[in-house]
Amino acid sequence: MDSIKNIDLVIIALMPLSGVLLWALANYAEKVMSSRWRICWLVPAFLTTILTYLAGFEKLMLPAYIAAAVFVIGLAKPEKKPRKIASVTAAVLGLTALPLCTLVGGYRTPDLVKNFNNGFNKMKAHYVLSEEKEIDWDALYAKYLPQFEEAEKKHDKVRNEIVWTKFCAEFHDLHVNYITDEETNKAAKKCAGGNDYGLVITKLADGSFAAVQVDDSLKAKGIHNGTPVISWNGISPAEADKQSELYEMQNYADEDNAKFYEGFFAAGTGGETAELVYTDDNGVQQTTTLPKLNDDYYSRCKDAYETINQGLNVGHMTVTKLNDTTACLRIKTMLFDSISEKDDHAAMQNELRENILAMKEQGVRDIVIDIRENNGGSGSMVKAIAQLFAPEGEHYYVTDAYWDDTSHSYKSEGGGKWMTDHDIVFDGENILGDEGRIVVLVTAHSVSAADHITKLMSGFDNTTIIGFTESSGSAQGVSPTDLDLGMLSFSSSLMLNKDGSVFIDSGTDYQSGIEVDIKVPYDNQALTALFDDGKDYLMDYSLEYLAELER
Amino acid sequence: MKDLIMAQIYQILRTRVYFWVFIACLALAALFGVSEYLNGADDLDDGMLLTASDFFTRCGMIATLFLGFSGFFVSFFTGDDFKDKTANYELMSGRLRKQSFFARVTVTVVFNILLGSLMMVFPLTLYALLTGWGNSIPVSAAVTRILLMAFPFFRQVCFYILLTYIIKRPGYAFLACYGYMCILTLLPAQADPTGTVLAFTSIQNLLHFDYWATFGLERDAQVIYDPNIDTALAVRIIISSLAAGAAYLWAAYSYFHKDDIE
Repeated sequence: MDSIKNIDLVIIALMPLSGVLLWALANYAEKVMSSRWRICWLVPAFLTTILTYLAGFEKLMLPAYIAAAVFVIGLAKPEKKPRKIASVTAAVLGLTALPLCTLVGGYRTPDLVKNFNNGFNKMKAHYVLSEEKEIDWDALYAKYLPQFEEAEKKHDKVRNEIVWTKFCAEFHDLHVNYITDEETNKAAKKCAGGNDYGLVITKLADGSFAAVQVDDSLKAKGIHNGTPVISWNGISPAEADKQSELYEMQNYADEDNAKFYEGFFAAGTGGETAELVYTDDNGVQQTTTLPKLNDDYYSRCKDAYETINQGLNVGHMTVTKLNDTTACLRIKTMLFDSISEKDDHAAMQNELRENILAMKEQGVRDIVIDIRENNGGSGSMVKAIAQLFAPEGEHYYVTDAYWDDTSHSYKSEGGGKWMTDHDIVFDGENILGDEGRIVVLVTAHSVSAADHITKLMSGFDNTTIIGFTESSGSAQGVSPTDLDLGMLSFSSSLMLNKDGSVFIDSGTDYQSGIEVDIKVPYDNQALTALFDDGKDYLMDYSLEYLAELER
Repeated sequence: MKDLIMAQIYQILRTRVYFWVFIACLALAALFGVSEYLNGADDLDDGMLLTASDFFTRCGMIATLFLGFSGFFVSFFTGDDFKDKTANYELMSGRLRKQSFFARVTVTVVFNILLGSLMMVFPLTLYALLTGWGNSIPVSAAVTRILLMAFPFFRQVCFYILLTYIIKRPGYAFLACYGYMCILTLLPAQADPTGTVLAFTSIQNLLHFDYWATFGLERDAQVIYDPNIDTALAVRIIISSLAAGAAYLWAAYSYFHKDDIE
């Protein structure tokens, strides 16, 4: 019952209620002369129309809508008998909507296939990296249509979310996303993640696999964070990974980032039990059968992911002193406020300048710009921040693509090149002075404008980009589009390099145009620091790097 | 019935207040465009002119204005003759109720649909003359949608006719029509992709353009409208409007047919 929208319940309840009242009125109205009583037989139809306007049309409510119309017979036939027949018919008809809405699937769920077709066609028409990535739209459609048909057959919103996310991951572009709502998205990841057996498997820099985020119940078997993993259910973690639907839902724009997370979803695959082969602390290979703890591998996997990737836990755009000579500028998202977008972030830049200068007065020489898990935002904010830290002189940022207003399209020049509009350049301020150094910390999910700042600052002499992985590698302008169910967003506006080639995003080679200067090895030392000691390994590494740097 | 229709037309043409309200409708429709222009309409860059095609992509307010004004015309065209007993005298002089009803309905429906179409066309023509048509949408897209708007206009007018025949006092009927329209605009309604629930939602769907925007870091956003209208939506709007309009007229006539006209 609780799944029925309240307004629909009111409409359904209105029918028997009106039936009873108008039945009684039929007896009375016949005895009085005034024709105004006839208006009462219009009331259910009028109320139903207004309520349907509020709640939206629902096909399973049709019997109730028809019932409301049946009452109108009482207006045209002011005799007792037809009015009573209309009252009973409408009341019964209206009530049939209740089992229809509760028992038949698809109540207030849009047609999932139609929804896919709508999103697919919009994306096919407007996705700007089709040529760069050589997208085979027909093949994608043939692959995913049956999956949406299956979801529609079961009216399964969670399955719909899973299939959409898998579809989005095919583009190797973190700007391609679909979400119905947070709740459905979480349910989809939980459903796709599989069972929790008490551990997550991660791949170390040397290619071996190790357990992390280990449940206390496995400690008796000698399994702990860092325990080397040989196989999962008889196959290597990398192969087991591919059996996880959550793996298929992961979107990476760069192959190197995808490889970093190889094996990450393996430990969610299996039935009531899973077989783990590992090396114990004595170096002896052991085989054990792990019982399923629960059906929520995603939560464990998410915790492990956050342990590896979360940035400094301070406020957005705050400058925090880390030691005598270094402070951290934490940028959680590349957005500041609505006013800043209008003044090209001039006010934000002034505020940041003041904060940095205040830190300099306290002896701070270097800055760590922490953009780990930064989900992107404004290019104008990127420019304003980069301008402060850039060495003096003119710096090139990116090139806007030429938009042909007549053909409503960008102009391809062939060979992966596009016609350019104009270059975006700025003058550096070098706020830290010649002695100051900058480290930019990134993760595989430092996306979009975070990719921009990574790429831009990697060209500065005073900046070093550090991370376990590269930043995401997705840098085009993105636009969202609302579907009947959910919201689809994808790259829609071209950003170019000076020569007209696509800025940052990977093509068919699955390699983005972005690199880190120092790829920190994710090894046993890092694993222990992160999972056992609770340290911010990348930050510690950066501080050490800055301290040892020759100037 | 022809002479009743002619009498109605004569009465409308001779009533000065109708003329001034009609002029006010057209003036407000044009002024709405001016306010869009002066307010710096969305998506227009500095110095850009609000062309007729830009204007059409954001002229939902004109349809709302029409829904308000048509309430006035419907309630007075069909209800004014109850007040001075003209309707009673018609029946006493041997006219059928059917003739009396459909003569007024015909004149009212035709006039109001023409008014609605004119309220859409007039400011468009004005802006086309002042700033050109532009390239946001082709003329054919605007013409198609304006023609289709006749159907929800018909539906809404028929609903107002029903209200007027129930209330029978033009002033109160106008208040009811206007109140109904105001309540609808204030209620937090769900989007109606079917376009069939009310004339109001059909109009919203007809005046909605799917659009797409591209931008650069230092290049203004370009909005690209999809001028096509879904055929299935158009068919749904036509059928639902005709069916609902006919149902309203049937209910209005059923009520009037056995009404004591007091």
